Amino acid sequence: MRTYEFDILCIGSGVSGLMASIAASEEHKDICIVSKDPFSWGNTRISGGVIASNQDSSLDIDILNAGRRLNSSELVETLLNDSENIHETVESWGHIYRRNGNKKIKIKPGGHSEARTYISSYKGISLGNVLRMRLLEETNVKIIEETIVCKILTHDSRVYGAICYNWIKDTWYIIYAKQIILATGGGGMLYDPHTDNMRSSTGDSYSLALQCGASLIDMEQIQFIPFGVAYPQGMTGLEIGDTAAAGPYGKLITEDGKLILGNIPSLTREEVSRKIALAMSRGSTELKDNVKLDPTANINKQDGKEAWVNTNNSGSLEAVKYAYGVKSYKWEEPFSVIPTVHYIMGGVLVDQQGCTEVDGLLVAGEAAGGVHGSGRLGSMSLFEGLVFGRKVGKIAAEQIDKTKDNPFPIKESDLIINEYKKTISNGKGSNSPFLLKKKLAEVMWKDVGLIKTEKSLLRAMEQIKKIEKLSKELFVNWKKSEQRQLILNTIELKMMVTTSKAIIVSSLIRRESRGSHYRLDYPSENNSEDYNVKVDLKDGEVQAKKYDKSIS
Amino acid sequence: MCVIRINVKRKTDEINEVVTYLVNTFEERMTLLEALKKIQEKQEPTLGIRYGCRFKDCGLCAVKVNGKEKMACVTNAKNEMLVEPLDHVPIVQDLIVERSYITKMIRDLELIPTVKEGEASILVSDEYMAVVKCTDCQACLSSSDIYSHENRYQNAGPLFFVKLAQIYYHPRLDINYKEIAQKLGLHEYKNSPTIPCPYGVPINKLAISPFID
Repeated sequence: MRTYEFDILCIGSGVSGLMASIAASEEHKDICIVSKDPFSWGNTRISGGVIASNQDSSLDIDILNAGRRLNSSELVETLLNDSENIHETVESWGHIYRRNGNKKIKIKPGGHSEARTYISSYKGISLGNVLRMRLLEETNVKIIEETIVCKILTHDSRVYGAICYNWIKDTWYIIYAKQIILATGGGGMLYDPHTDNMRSSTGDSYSLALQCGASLIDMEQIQFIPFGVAYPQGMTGLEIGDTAAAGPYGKLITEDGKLILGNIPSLTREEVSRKIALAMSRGSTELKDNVKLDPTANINKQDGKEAWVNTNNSGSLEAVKYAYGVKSYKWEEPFSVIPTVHYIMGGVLVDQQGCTEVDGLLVAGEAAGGVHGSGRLGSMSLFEGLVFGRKVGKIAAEQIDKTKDNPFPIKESDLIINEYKKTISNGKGSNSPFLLKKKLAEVMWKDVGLIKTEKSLLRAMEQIKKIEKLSKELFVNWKKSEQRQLILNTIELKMMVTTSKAIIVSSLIRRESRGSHYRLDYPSENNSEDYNVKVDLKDGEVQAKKYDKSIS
Repeated sequence: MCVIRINVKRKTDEINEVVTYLVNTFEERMTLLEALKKIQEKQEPTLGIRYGCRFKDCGLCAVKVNGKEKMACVTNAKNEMLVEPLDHVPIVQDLIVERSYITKMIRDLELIPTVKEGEASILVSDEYMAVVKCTDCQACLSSSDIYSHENRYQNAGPLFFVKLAQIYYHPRLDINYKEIAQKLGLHEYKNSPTIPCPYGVPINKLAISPFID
């Protein structure tokens, strides 16, 4: 057990967490950045590294169109207003975009009406490395790696620290801080293996926020990228690409070659994923049929060949080669595709400063909700992470200057940790957190996935509650170091149960189909009523209600 | 259905031996990472494995397979495979090895570049594109007999030479190469046999030779 004390605790070391920590450090604050994986590992690093730019007047229109009026227009405005110099800033730190002569190459990922997206020199790795180097220049940032944040500590609705577990060192910490930034990214693992996210993407921010009194918004909006790998075992769910990855002449076909959909790049990710799901299920909720992407018509056309080069540069065709062979990789034959969870559009409810309803708790990046509403354009996540990361880091630093006093009541730190452990598991059962996580993800994919109904959602809630009950009786032995991964997974499971419930109750309330949320029992969009769904944790129950921003 | 035997070198506070596990592959093909995950899920929940993206972008699942460094995610599971942790890096548990020292080394060795003044060339070379692929997977440290973790502050090892090369070939970044190369103990590798890299980084050619007089 160790305790630390800092001005600011930043949880997560992807694009948002790194930008926030750099920005706060530039304001000379003492910062601790905690990463569950090695420092600067996460979805940022494994992404294609494509980043939108705000170069024309129509980006906001595209964002709002993809979000089907659920976006927070204030957050969209903030994103665009605060994006000034963002690319120049990372370039000045050594980031390189692909160029044609002197000009940055621009592409048009799914949903964009203009080519305004830049391509990093070598996928997300190149961005991750530049941000890591830039942060390591800052001497007033403490880096704690391979450590999960288990619980945010609050007093009178104000944060004062967090309980953490270093799963490599098998050591518990309490980190006291006046401001806490949540930047743990998304939660694709809630649908494992049907996700292209990192293993560590277990949606920790959503549960941490709920548990300390903040609210979530739009949690029913889970983005499926249309083209994921279908097989073999171990590769299911890996990303092939979004609508642009079909090329201008690619089409979706059934197993026996019948046309399902053409003209794919002009559509949003949401539209194409839903079309694939409905073709697979033939009108039921069960995804049983195989759907193929036939990109072969591209290879005889100039713009088709260019699309292949761009798709290959973002790295995603590699997975096609390994899964299906060289012919599929070269777009010489059709291959099986299945939509895969890519991004959670919902997230923690924040204002334009990235602040939550809990004093001292800020959120940036995928962990936050509101920008994307019910659909997200390609290449927006790194853009959002860069812009909001920088902004939120700066705001947190400003707040420190305003709150000089130490807010936390120092309790026995050992006591805090022991109390926490008791809420996790009695350590007397025989259930495995690995199997329960797997079961949870099966339930989420089957009943809370691409096609939902009231019946499937209620069934899912019942199953998740069963898993929650079983999760209290795990064979966790807190004293044995060989149990480090069991402990890590137990902590994650507990949080995933809470987040799953938030997604289910939100999906139940939205009795319509909009964006990424498709209800077979309410298949059309209700044009007469636009509302968001807000989730809170009250008396231990995860509750959702309609939320009209104009009233609040 | 096909059952295969996977032999895993285990190391915990209590175990230090090769343990054989039987895995049902159901289909013709299964990745080694998937096989290890199945063992962890169904047979041995304390089996320590580290992974991230499942397709070689993150570099977290490097292990030794039949004596050679591989990414478990892009290796097919085969009958009687021997899976061991990487060499030369301290084992945390079973197949998990230490990593957090990498961040500390970059800081301590001041492997941090400055950005060149003015409008430097923004054209990237083939050499830059070759070295930028490194994922810190540590396979190079494992396969090099010259590397010693205990002496890493005198002999930093190929992973850190690649970090230096990433700065060297970058069109806008700069660092005092001579001084840093000296500090990293690069001269120790003057006659090193070819160091393999799962990502195809030509380590000897691009990250060692240019820094040796």
